[in-house]
Amino acid sequence: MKVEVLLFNFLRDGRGKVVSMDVNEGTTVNDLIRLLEIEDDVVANVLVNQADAEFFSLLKEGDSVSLFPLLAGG
Amino acid sequence: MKVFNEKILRVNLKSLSHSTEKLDIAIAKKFIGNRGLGAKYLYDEIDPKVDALSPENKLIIVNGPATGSNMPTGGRFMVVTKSPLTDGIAYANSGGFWGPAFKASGYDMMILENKADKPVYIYLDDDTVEIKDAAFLWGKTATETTDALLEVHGEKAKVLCIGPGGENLARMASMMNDYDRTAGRGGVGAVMGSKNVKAIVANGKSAFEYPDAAKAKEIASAKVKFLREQPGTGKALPELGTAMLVNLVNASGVFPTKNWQGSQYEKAEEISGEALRDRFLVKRSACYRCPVACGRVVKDANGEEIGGPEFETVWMFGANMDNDDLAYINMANELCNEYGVDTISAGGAIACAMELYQRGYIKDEELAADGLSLKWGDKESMVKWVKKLGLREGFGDKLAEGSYRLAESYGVPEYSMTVKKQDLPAYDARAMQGQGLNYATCTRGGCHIKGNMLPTEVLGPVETRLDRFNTEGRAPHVRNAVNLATITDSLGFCIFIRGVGIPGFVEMVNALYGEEVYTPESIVEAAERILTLEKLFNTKAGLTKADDTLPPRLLNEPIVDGPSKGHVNRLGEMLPEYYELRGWDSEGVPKPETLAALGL
Ligand code: SF4
Repeated sequence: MKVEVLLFNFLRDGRGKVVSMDVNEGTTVNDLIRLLEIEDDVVANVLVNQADAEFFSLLKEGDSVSLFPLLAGG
Repeated sequence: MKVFNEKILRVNLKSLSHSTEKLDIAIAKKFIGNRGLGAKYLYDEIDPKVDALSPENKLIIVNGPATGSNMPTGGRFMVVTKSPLTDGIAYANSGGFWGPAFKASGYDMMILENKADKPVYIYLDDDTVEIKDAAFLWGKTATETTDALLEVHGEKAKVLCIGPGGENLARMASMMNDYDRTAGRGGVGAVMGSKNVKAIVANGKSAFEYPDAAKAKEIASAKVKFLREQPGTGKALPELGTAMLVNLVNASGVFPTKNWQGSQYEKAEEISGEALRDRFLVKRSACYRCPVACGRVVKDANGEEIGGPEFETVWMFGANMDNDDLAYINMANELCNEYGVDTISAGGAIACAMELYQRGYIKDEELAADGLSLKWGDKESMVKWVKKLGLREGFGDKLAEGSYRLAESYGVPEYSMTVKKQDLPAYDARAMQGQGLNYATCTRGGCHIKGNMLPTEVLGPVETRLDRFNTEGRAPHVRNAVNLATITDSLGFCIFIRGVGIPGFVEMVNALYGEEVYTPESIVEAAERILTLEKLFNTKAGLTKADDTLPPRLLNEPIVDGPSKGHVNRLGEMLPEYYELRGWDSEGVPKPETLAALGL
């Protein structure tokens, strides 16, 4: 199934802003992070179709996933 | 210099005389320093009811124990006074390098009293205090003023000044130091202008003395290492600056648009930290001894290097005015700095005026003489309004009163997005319940940074953070965030290193004293004391529970778009518990037993 991944901050380095991926049924957010070769514990905020999501959330066809590293400041 | 020089400089501007007095170190420790110490002196020395722009108000500039030390970000000074914007207490700090130079000139605190008959500036070095004629500086922008003073006093001197905004008593005027660092909020620059003081030049050179230099060095190095290893302060913040928050805050649906009529901006990516880096960044910049370096140097339309905008400024002159052109945000930021006005409150006045225009309260005829519009997204006009506000020229005169007084003059104060007449920053508190409580109760009026709930309500994995839509049990979290910020401020550190936590701050300050002055418990108690004193000042100034509230829009009008749609802030469910936790009565007035317990 196809999903779209939006990356932010330094997660874009070497990967770009938007990545389209073809993944198996049953793929979770965590699996996606591994497929993108992002180190463990780097991703902090995850949104699926604009709603907050957990690392174990199951993805479905056409989902749009946003991944943010841990931010500080404000 | 050391944690405290134990010396206060008092300047009488009427007689152009000055004197020094001893700082009681026991009082300094009781109120930590910086913000806390400033509050103590302000409370003791002025009637909280005085007109903030009258000679009876005092302007206090004060350092903390960490200022000028080797600890990371230990460079902050605080300006404490009565605010002409909120009519309550104002405290605004700034980084850069001026605070350490002030401490190195031998003082902990400067109290400016009365009003000079004509413009002056103050020059300080190791053994001199001079009050000098500032006629040649009056009317100049921050950069012009700084350049002119460095020409006179040498490149190593540090300059703190006001721009035309402060001279013209714009109620949100800021004080600028080291060109583009800002003590921004509460109109502290207007108070300086009301006293006819254009600038303070600090040129002290004495070095920090450590009772146990090896220990201080060891702790400082450990904290620098910690900050470099943290993903936020070590990577994300240095990479994009504070504007890195644009995309996440927007994605969370708490990024207000058009004076808070909407809460998600479809063009956020255009004004994001990522876009700022890719299109405009020249280099990063850092305040005194800061390993984070969140500051931005960007290029303007002519390729000249200027200070880059912070997150709040990007939001205010971007989404909140429906402007997706970062070049114009950079320009507006630069003009705010040059004219010496707070980006949040100056922008807040313009955004509010845009809504008043949209709704027909402000008519074209009123703007004809200025030749500018108040249409959403009119970026050309937007930047010109900043200048007019700073000069109080044409309609800019009304903008300089701030959004609350502006909207009130049309009979509709509800369109001012303020708390205690001070404009709110970039987080829609309808979908961040704790942030709403923080906004409503902040002793300096509408502000996020003095108890920011962003880290606990928005940043981080959903599995570990607080449910931002929930009010239950939220008050203690807000109290903790406010205490942490009060400690950070009063020690003289930057809030962005709050990740070291209270134990980390205690470790650093004790290392500077060379003895155990604080425990985590006792420093929290000091923070409670400071907060309660600030609240007491506000109470005596005439502020009541009715002022500890949010704009009606946040309480009554649900968010209309994005993932936070349908929510309002439920302040009433949190406020009583917050008062209770602070030992304030149901009207928000500190109880006698609380004052006694805190030694006030
Ligand atoms: S984190 Fe940013 S604002 Fe804070 S001291 Fe460092 S450069 Fe200055």
